[in-house]
Amino acid sequence: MTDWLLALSQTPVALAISLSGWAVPASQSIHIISIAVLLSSVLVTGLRVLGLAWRGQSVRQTAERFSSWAWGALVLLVLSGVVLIIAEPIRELMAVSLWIKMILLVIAAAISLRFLRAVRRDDLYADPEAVPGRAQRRNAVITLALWVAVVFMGRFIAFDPQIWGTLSPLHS
Amino acid sequence: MNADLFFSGLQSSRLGVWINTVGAVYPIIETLHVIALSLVFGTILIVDLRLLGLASMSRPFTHIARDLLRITWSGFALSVVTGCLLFVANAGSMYANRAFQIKMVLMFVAGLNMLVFERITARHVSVWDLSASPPNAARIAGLLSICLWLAVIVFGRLVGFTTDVEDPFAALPRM
Repeated sequence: MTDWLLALSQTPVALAISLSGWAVPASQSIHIISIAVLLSSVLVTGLRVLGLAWRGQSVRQTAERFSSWAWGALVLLVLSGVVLIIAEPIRELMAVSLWIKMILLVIAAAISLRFLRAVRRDDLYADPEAVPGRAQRRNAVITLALWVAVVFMGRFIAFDPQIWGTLSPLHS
Repeated sequence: MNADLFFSGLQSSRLGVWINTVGAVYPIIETLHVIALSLVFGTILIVDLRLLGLASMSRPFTHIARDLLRITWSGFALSVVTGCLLFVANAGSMYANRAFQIKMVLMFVAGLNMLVFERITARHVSVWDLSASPPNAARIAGLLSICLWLAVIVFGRLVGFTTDVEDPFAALPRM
């Protein structure tokens, strides 16, 4: 695996990214800005489910307002993330934090997708004032917590040995 | 008092050493800073897009502002606390960091923009609260706010690129 990553880090694309002074900070900035858009979209939609914000509009209308922004941000996160991985494949792909992040990301995206599908179908979500039941409210909190955990794991990639000690392959 | 001495003293204070050396304290503070700034920028963006007449048009402006400003200010408070801790941990080099200085100026200007909007433009908000196209002064405030906060995030990220090799401002004279 290390050999393959080393080879990847020596490809012309990888060298161009890591040697250019701006590609990495630009990708990181796009990554952070997209995190802001995604987290806030999930937060406001979640707060509407909890009945704490955006009342007067249904959960369905609220989700329609924010879901396209959340998915757009996720696309930018994947694209900028790929650039950052190519720039430093060993530091990124050998990190335990990155793989935990990817698992949490898939779970968070799946739960979010399932919620959005239910919101489109179920008229429970069409009332401008109604607050959904306990199960839906709990789901909103879990979804938000998962996305926050994804951000933690993302930031921890740069500190992998410090966080995981000998569990991290990057521990020396 | 010599600034270099003062700030390197701050960095080697018990707090600075604690942040830099104990377990996962530093990464946790950094992550909380990212989450806090996400809340600040994300909620401000929602309000600004409404001012520009680009999103959330079916809701009155004041309802959006009322819902979100609590989140914005909570996020801002957390950003300031975590930002100060990160500053202490890096004080020795941070006070002279060009990107950091630019970021502080940009935040000050963003604050002024917000103040002008609150004190002058939003005084007659009841006239355009429901309107899908707020007056030009409000739109300009929204656009300026988006640009300034985007720049704050970009320069915030550049703060981390401090070695001369990586520092985009390395060629510029130091303040």
